[in-house]
Amino acid sequence: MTETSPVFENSQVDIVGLPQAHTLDLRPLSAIRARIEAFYVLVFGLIPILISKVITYFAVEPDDRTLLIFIYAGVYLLLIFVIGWTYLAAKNRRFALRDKDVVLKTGLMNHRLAIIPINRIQHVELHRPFLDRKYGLATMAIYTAGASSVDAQIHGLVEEDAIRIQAFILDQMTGAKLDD
Amino acid sequence: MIEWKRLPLAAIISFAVAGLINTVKHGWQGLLPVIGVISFSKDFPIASFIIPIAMGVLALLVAFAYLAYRYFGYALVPGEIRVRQGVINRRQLLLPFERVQSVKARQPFYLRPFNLVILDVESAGSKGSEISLPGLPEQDAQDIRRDIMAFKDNKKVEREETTQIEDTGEPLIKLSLNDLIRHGFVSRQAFLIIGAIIGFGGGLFDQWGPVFDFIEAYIEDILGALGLFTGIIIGILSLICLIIIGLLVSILITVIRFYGFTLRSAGDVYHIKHGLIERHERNLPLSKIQSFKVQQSITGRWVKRAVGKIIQAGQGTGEGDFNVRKKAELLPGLDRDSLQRFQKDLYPDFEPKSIRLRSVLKGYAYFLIGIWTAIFIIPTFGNLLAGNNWGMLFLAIPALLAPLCFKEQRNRQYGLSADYGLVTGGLFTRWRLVFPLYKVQNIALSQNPIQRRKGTATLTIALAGERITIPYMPLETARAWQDYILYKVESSDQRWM
Repeated sequence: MTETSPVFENSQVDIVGLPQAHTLDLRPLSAIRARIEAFYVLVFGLIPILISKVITYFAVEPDDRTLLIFIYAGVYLLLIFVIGWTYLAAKNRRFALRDKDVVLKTGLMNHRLAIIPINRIQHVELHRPFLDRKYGLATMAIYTAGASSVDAQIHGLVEEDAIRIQAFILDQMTGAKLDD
Repeated sequence: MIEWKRLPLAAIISFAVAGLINTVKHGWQGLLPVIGVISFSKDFPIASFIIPIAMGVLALLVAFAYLAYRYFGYALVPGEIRVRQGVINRRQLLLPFERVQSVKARQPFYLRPFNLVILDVESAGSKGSEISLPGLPEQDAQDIRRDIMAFKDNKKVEREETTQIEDTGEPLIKLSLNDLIRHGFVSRQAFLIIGAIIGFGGGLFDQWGPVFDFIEAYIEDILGALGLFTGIIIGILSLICLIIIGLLVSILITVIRFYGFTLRSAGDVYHIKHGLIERHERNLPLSKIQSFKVQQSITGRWVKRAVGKIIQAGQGTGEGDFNVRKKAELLPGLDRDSLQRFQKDLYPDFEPKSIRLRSVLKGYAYFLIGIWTAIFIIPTFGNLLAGNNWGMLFLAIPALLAPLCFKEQRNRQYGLSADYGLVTGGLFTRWRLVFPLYKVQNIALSQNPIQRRKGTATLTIALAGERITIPYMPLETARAWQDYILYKVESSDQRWM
């Protein structure tokens, strides 16, 4: 039982038949979700900007407003950048369901490939936020007992798919439990 | 209708002690300013205030203890244990037996005359879901413990019942006084104690002025006679004295806490016993153990003792893990032999020697240096802008830290056997963590842009107890680890908990 795997680095072939996660064909998630997320950032970014505009309108002398224009130009640029980033990051999320695990790839700059074995899943939640519901989308939150936030949040699943995936996971989970 | 049971009357002492401890624990910070004010105003009529205040506090404590005792009730409903408690905020806690992680009985000295024990029922969940019954007759405690264990697993009943005869076998770990003294010497609390002495001593010095004035004058006389040089020497000597006192107190605390520490194996459970004034006794099911960590500080290497940490679900050791709810089980003062004996028993098929450890790549050291540079570049610029060219010296700090970064990188090692993973790290306090691969909960591979260009990756392995990060592995290795560990997890039918 205790034979060590010899020179692990170059033994990709030695571990015959091990499924390789990085060769997986990962599916993109709904593009609508990316637009929804960008919209949220737009709305929640604009609210404080508008409030501060109202305040400065009353509080700052008209002569001093030239500096404000530059500041606001910067703020708007930043907002546009964050919106763009959010949109692209959301669009870049990929996910795959395997027989025995859930694979989720996230990140625009820092890529992250998180894999959650189904026999370690504690519970699965489906969320339907307001806008998502309108477009028939759902978010699936997967929890394990792991001591970190690696547990996956899969945004932008089509609702029927989400329900089917949840059923599949629950099926596999109980199947695994019964084998015990 | 639930039938609430009351604790025996003597349990009131428990409530009083808990109240006292809470007051001291949470109240001392509030009292510090008061003490400070009193200390600085020398003419304050201290005695005439402190005695009434102390009596008032005492009366309140007793009243609260009585009320807490009156409102406390517990009930054993089939499959769960319920507790209602609280004087001002009344709460009802409910803990299903199947969620119970451990049942511990302890007997503090003040309950010994009444033959009562405190029963702590802990769950794997969050901190709020712990139930403590502060003062049960020993027999009742045994019964509850057996009920819970019987519900969870019939097999465990026998095991629980064997706790009485366990004492006969040879323990896996048995700490001598020598071990404990060495552990007390290593333990960091010595420094805390020194800090407390200095802080408290300073206040005392101000307060008891008349007494100390005499001594002060005496010391000044001597210093005046001896000159500055001797004064410095005396200063150093008194610092050494402080350190020695701190160490002695630390050793004393360790000895009191861990006196007679034994760990015995009883099949699928470890039985741990220790304590001089308060006897602690608990069972640790092997199946609950997620990983095992060994830590050794510089002083630890010096006195040849290490600290072991048995990490269960929901626990952690605090490093690199900020959402830890409970501290891991501590095995103090381990020498090489008992460490190896214990590890052999915990993971029989784990052969540390057969694992080839590899350091993470140099990129990790550059990453650390980059962080330090980023931290120190701001004051550098600030100084340059202010026209202070000496500010450039700030950049020397990351340069000085660079060797430490490389050491840290070299110390961060990883290795894999067929069934176990081994990760080491640490700069001054070095640690190594062993975990069976099938206990892994999830595993993520991440790459920042630099890592993508260099073909390296960071692997984050989440166990139910601790999260392990292996930064800057070769991408191929990280992928292989991810695939292999997943294979081990997904093909395993062993219960992880």
